[in-house]
Amino acid sequence: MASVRVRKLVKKFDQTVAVNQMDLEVEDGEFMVFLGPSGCGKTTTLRCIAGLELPDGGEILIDERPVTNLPPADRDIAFVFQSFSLYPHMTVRENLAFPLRAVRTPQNVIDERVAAAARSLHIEKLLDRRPNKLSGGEMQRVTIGRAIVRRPKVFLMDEPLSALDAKLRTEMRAEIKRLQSDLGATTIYVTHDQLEAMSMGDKIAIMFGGLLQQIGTPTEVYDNPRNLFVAGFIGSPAMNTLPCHRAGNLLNILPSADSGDGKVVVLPVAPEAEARFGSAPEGKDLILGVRPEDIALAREPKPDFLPAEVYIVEPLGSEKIISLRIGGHVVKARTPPTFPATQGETLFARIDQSRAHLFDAATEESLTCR
Amino acid sequence: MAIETSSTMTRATAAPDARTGGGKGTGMSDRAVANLFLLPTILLLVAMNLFPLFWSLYLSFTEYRADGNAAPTWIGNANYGEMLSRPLVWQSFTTTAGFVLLAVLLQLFVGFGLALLLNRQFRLKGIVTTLFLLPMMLSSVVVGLFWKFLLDTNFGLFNYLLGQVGLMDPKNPINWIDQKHALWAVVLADTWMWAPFIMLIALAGLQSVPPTLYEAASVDRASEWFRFRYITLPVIAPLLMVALLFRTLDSFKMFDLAWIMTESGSTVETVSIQVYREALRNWNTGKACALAYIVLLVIIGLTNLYLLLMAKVRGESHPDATPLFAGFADSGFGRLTQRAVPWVLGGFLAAGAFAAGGVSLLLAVGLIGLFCASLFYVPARVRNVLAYVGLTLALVAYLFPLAWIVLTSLKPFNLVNVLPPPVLFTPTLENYAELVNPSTSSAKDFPGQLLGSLVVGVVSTTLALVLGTMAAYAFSRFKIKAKNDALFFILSTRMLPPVVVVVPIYLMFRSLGLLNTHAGLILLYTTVNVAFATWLMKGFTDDVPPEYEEAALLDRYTRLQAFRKTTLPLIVPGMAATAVFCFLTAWNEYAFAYFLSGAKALTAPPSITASIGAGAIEWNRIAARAVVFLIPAAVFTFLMRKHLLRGMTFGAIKGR
Repeated sequence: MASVRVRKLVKKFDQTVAVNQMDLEVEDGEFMVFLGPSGCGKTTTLRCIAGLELPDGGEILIDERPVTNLPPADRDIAFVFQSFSLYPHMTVRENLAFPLRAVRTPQNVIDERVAAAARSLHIEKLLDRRPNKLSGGEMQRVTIGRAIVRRPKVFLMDEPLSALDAKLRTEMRAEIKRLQSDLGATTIYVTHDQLEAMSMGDKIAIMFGGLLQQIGTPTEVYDNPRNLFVAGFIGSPAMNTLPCHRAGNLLNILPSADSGDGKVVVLPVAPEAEARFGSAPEGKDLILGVRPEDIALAREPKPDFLPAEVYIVEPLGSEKIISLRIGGHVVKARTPPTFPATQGETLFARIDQSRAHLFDAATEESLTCR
Repeated sequence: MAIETSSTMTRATAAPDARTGGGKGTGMSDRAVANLFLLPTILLLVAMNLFPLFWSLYLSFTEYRADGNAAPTWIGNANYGEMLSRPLVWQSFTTTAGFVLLAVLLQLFVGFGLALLLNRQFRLKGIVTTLFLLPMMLSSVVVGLFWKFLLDTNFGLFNYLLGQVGLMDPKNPINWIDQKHALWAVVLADTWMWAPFIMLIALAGLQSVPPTLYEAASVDRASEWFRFRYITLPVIAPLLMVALLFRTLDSFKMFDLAWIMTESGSTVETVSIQVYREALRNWNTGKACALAYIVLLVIIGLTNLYLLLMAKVRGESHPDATPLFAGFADSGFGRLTQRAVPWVLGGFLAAGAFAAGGVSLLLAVGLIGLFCASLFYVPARVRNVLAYVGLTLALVAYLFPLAWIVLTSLKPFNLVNVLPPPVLFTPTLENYAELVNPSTSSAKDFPGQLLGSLVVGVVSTTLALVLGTMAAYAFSRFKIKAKNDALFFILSTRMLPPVVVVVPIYLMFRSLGLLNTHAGLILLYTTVNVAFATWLMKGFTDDVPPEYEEAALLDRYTRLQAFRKTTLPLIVPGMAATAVFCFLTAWNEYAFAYFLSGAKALTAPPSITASIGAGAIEWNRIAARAVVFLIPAAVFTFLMRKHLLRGMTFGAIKGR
């Protein structure tokens, strides 16, 4: 197993810059997830690491060895494609054996490794079928099996679960994570699904517009988003954002332009947040970011609680998402499923300021990120 | 589930319609529409294909001479016995088999090679590909004449070039139409004409391989050769099987090129020529029918062999037909046969190649193969350069006969046979002027024959298109009993060699007074084309989602109105493509036009060859006629280049 280092990676397609000065380090045995919306450069970065694309600038090292311009075959990596890309005319067994046959591995070694891979992926019964007789989940297992028989230095996976249905995706998520920790294999995993990223990754690299936005453990990127993009991309429902100004010890939440009564909602800065919010410039356009679970609701008025009208109630079974209107803005709050609420009534909401964030509205950078 | 919902909804909407009564009416039932749309096509095919087949089956058991007045007398299987014991018949089968083996093998090599060369991104790729495809859209008459001219013993450019490079003694030129060389001459022309067909299909196959398969393989450390051997070849094998099937059947019925290039088939007497001679020259009608039936059986056998092989390689792109021995294929013995077939065929091929060209041919093929294989181990950049060089050479070689005929048509008669060919000469349009303002009697007929070709082509195309579109719609949208069998029947009528049905059709036409009439040819070409149009249009109709029509039905349109307002406008482009293919088939057709017309041809193709007589051949005049005749084909080829793949495979392969 090995580390992967990417330094100042640049990749252009015609005039479009797909990856712009990317710097990344993946440690030995780490499960790294590249996360971002489509077109953010995550797949391109992965394909550059694999050697399927040649970069226009920068350097790639696998196991401290520069591989920037080597063909994929010489990098000792395995790649799991989004489209499965199983060889349609070969049985599962032949598909699994293909990477070994390509380098003339002795037949007994092939048999042994194929059997081992099939065992760990529970596909022993499928070995003599062809890909068109497999379900999506089974195909995905075979694809992963084809990667692990190689025993490569690094696993690269390009959205491997995106073609599966929701239930299967959850199952495979856990299974891939388990497999990765069993093998202790350095893995880079590309996805646009933040839930997948959060649940699987040791670290998450969030990308947007060809730029690395933030890299860190799932908890770090969730609790301390560096900018509005990361804050909005991770978490579901997304973080609530409220435009505001700071005036001394008060946060003035500006009313939404198109609805509400046009009145400024005044939020006094709580003592536990003074240290974090105090550095925010006064009079500048700011954005207050609050996660849905950081809004406490009460049915009766209480100190520090703002009145808010219930706009929509979404019972999800394990929890209830209640959309409220505060200053005309729709704010989502996560509550226990038993919390009673009906559309149209007025509730009282308190923002947990110790976990809230302030962003500069112009630069979108976080002012509270440590 | 979906079907249930739609049918209940149809019923729900039909009810208020019935109540409103007089206004619109509910129109015909789906069954009535299906019958109305299918019946004309089926009737035509039964009358023009099935009936003649049964008639000739009967005649094959009788003693009958169509030029005499005696009624057929039943003589049992004597005709079959006689035909099978006649050495000439066996010889013609051997000739045909040799021709099929050589031509198909060469076409496979050349076509596949061209496809590999073309399978890369470069500017003008579309144009270059289309230029390669041009020959197969031309009439076999024109192709046969070109090559006859190029291979002429004394004045042919081919022999001249051979002499120049020292491969032939100029004092002792090769006679390309003698017993020893004629087969090769026809094979050469046929390969030039049809290798592009294999190329077209192979190219589609190469482009259909998902690029991620190659990426996966390159990550898996597979070498270039390994990728070709274990990914490219297996993935395109089913498509190549389709191509080989089409080519084998077509080569097996070879008539035109052999007839035109070798003085009425004197040195390349294929089975088709044999049947024709027996039927319409010797007038041994019963015997000819017996021979035709033997040919038919061989063709059915060949078809099923291929279907069996295709089932083995298990592609998704084979036509919707199951081989006759599908059950047999799964039995133990069947599997054994399947495994043995490629080896046996390979053995035959090797033996045939050996018989035809000896050790040197096998060695040459082996060397070329080795050279091609070694290309996989040179760096990609070198290979690319080599590919472009190869492509340029191939293009020049391919277009040369076409350029030569155009040049010849611009030469005055005294320059035609001058070798070495003058590089600079004053082009003259007198050969073309001759067409408009004819001086000889045979030339006087040509404008009329060209017009005849046009009329026959346009009318038969229109009829076939209307019938085919209707039948295709019925097949595509309605549940029809034995649908696959019906479709297979329709396809198989198109595969029939002309000579198999020529006797009964000749007799039918004679008794109906259709011999040597435009109406007769129109009827015949409509029959030939309707099968093709049905298959092609079914593909195009299948592409239109039935939901549009269902929506219209819910909006209380009748089935016919819904068809006219929703589906029909969307298949018009498909109809245009189909029309072009039908028209070119009729325009280029030679064999039937030759069989069924009298002393004076009705259409252009037979008349172009008819001008070859004794004495000095005026190649410049012939070239001018050929050029005029091939212009529509060339223009349509360029217009239709996106649909060529689909058209040439009866819609079996859709392409992009």
